[in-house]
Amino acid sequence: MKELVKYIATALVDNPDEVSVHEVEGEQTSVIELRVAKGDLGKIIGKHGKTAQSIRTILSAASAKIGKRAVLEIIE
Amino acid sequence: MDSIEIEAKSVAEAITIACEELKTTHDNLTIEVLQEAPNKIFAFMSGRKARIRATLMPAKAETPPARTAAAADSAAAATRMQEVLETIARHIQPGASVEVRNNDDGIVMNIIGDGSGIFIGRQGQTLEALQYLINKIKVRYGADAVPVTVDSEAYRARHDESLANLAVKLGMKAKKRSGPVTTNLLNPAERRIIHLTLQKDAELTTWSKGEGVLKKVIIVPRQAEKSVNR
Repeated sequence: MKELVKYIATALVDNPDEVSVHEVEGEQTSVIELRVAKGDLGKIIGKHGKTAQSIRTILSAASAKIGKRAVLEIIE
Repeated sequence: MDSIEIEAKSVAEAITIACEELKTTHDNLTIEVLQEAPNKIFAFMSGRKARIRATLMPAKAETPPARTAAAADSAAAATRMQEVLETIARHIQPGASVEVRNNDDGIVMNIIGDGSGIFIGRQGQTLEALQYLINKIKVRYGADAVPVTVDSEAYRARHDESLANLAVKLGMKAKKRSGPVTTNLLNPAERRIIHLTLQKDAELTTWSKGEGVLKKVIIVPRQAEKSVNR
């Protein structure tokens, strides 16, 4: 899960070195915290949050397989 | 930042020396000519030399390639995009692969999985998400003019067909009641199919209504057109 988010985020931003992903695992859900450079925040969120929405959709497809929910948190 | 001054017989020679000193190539240096070399005869007499200041530019991040690599031809970009999509797909389902083909509207990338429809999602939402992201990432690889369609298990063809059927069905309904019929919220590609399907029908007219990316299509018989508030 974590690698997936990291891969997508790195491909989207201008400062790939500043992408950091942290996974907080719970019993049923794991929260994936994504941090990017300040200037790249808009690239991750997208117009009307569409990019963020897309990442979340893909994340839920990936987690459906494992039978565990994953939530994406974009940390400002 | 590293910066050195070099004196040599000519500017070209000075640059070569600078490259050697800084152990880099000309591309990574900013060259500032402080003094041109006079032409040969006078140089011999005056002893004046060319002087430059060479400054090492900060190294660029290598992955993903920066926008300067954008000039790369679109075939290479397509291959690169295939790799990106394949990597994402394999995170969702290991063993998935992506095949690429060209059609009239651009590039179609087909994800081949185990046939469970995991890449399609409810009402194709996973497919839409993958397509949206790949088109965003694509801009970095210089193929931004070519739209990429992401498909899996021939979903696009099936979906297009069902939309065309829906359009015909709603068209009939509109004629029957001599009044407007409205679709659900549709994205631009979906609306296009509705409009195109009903364009052939001279008795009907269609338009979109709503704000944002998702809009409804309103289908109205021509004789009732004036009574409907747009």
